[in-house]
Amino acid sequence: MAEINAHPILEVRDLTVEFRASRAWVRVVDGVSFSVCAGETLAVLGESGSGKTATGLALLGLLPRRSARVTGGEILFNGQNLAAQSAKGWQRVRGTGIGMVFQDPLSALNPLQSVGNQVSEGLRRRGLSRQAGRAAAAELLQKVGIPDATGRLDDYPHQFSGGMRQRVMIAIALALRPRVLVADEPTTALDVTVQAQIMRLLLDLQRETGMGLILISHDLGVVAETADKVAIMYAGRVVESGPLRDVYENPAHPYTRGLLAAIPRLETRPVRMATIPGAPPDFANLPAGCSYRPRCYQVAERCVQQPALIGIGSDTLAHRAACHFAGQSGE
Amino acid sequence: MSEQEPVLSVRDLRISFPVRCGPLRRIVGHVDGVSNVSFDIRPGQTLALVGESGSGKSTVARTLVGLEKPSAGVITFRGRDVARASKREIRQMRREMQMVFQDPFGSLNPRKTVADIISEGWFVHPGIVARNQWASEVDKLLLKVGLSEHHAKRFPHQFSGGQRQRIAIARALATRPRFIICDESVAALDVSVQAQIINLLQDLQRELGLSYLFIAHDLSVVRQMADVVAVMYLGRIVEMAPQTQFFDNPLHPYSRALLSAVPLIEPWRHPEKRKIVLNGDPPSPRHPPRGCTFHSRCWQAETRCQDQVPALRALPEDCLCACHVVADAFAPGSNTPVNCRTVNEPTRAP
Repeated sequence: MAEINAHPILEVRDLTVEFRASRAWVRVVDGVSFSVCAGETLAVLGESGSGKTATGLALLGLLPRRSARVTGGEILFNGQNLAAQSAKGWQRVRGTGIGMVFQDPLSALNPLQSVGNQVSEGLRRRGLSRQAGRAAAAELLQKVGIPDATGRLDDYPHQFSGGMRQRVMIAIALALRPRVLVADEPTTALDVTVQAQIMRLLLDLQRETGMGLILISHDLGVVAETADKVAIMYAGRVVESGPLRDVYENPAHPYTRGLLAAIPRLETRPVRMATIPGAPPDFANLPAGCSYRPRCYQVAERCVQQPALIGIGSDTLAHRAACHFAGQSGE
Repeated sequence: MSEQEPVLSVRDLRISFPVRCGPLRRIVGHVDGVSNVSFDIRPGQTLALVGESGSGKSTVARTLVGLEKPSAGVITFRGRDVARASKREIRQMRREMQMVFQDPFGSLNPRKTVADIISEGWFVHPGIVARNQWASEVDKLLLKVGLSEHHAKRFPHQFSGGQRQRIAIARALATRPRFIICDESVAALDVSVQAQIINLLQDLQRELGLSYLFIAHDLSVVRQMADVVAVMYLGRIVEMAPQTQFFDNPLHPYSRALLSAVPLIEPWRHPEKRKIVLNGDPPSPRHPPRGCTFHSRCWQAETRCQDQVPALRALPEDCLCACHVVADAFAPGSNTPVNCRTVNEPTRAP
């Protein structure tokens, strides 16, 4: 958060991703744009099936090759469009340029390889000797807060607790000093007390390395204390984006308002919960126009037309929402 | 204290699991998954059991419905001791005690229609609903949980997660229970749907006078649902208190750490809130720390905490807490003001 370089390291423009569903291709990410600068944290928020994970995978070229494809848009990293590059090109970017931390460390780690080997794998592939790799792995594991790091190099993932495994994942992602780290639900599988430790660790590491951080999450609370800006996704589109506090205090999209009202809050006495009617739509048959239309409380005729992201308030570039009514008097 | 007979009463429950070793899987010892757990749930009341994974909260639930056998302790359901009940009485209890699980995808049989799933209880327990009434009764239940009649002939895969959880609730209601165990029943749902299910559970409770054992790790949800909160750590209840007291003034250091770790939605509105980040992970139940099981992570642990197990002591305002330091602060003659915030001010907080 300290010093945000105004020039983005990673910029996504109009990204569109399609997945194969029985016969047809279904669009799960539709015209998503955002950017991250060095030292900045962006939270991509959404419910299950909002396209947030597909977006994250696209940033690393990790979409399943047969069943998914990027059909449009640009992923600009260091001025280079990653979306257009070959598999070889992706290998050069992954790890060194963009790193990733997955949600479930148990299935993302190799159960048959020692933790030390997995942490140093990327370094050894780039020519570091076995000895030096081991030393580097120990240093990384220590940095992410694993006690007795040297003594645990030869341990296997099952010998670590959930929180410790997530630390190992972070060490692997950091080994090649990425300039941007994508963390997909990094704390969802963890207990609250451990969740707080991991979020703090990610922030400390970011402050130290100055990397850009993209947190993909469904939890508006977890990111509230860490992110500088947010992009709220619904049915594959960004429906609202902007500085976190602006969006949380002055939500402009009915979906964002609904979400913020429907979260149970620890700090308030029990009241009857506000709800959003219905359920998130199915990608195979999205409603025409605004996909939030069937659940929206202020739906009107013009909502059958797709709303564009428009600026809210004075600084029109920062806080934007995709609603025909956004920027008007509100309720 | 008691205005009404509790629906469920648990006393000194202990559940131990065998530890097996070697090629013959010989039993080499036992681990206590749950020990000394006692609580009452009164009609129309919700008791929330909270704690981290491995704290034993689901084990308690599984034991109540008979999926695990207790090694010690007494479970009394509507005045009858479960261990001494006859087969017939146990059938009756099963009818009156239902469970709603966490995963609405795994807990519904994919090859049965919604009508079959809901009416299965009537098949097992004849006499609740006459056979010729089944169809209309299924429709009534579907309406009650916010679905509609035409859903009865569909299969579970045709529903979203929230709708499936509604079906699971309708199934639980079918046998006209008095008591429902909700084991993380809203944890797997999206925020926008979670609130709908919380409201539904509360409406049903008011309408039917149900009692809930609400097992959850999300304290914000617990705040909405619970009348009484019990916090478990390594198989023991470390604090139990009425909802308001617990959230306004948590006593046990673990409860305080747990509450402080819950991320606030708008942290800038609560600059006074400080985070207590605990070190390390919960210890393994196979090798629990001696004395107070929490002392290895506690910032106010004293020497006695390392060898004396603190008892769950009754404190003012119906609170129970198992902590030496808290008990001292409340002891008569103590000159520490009886305000737990001052008692528990963490010294190692960041």
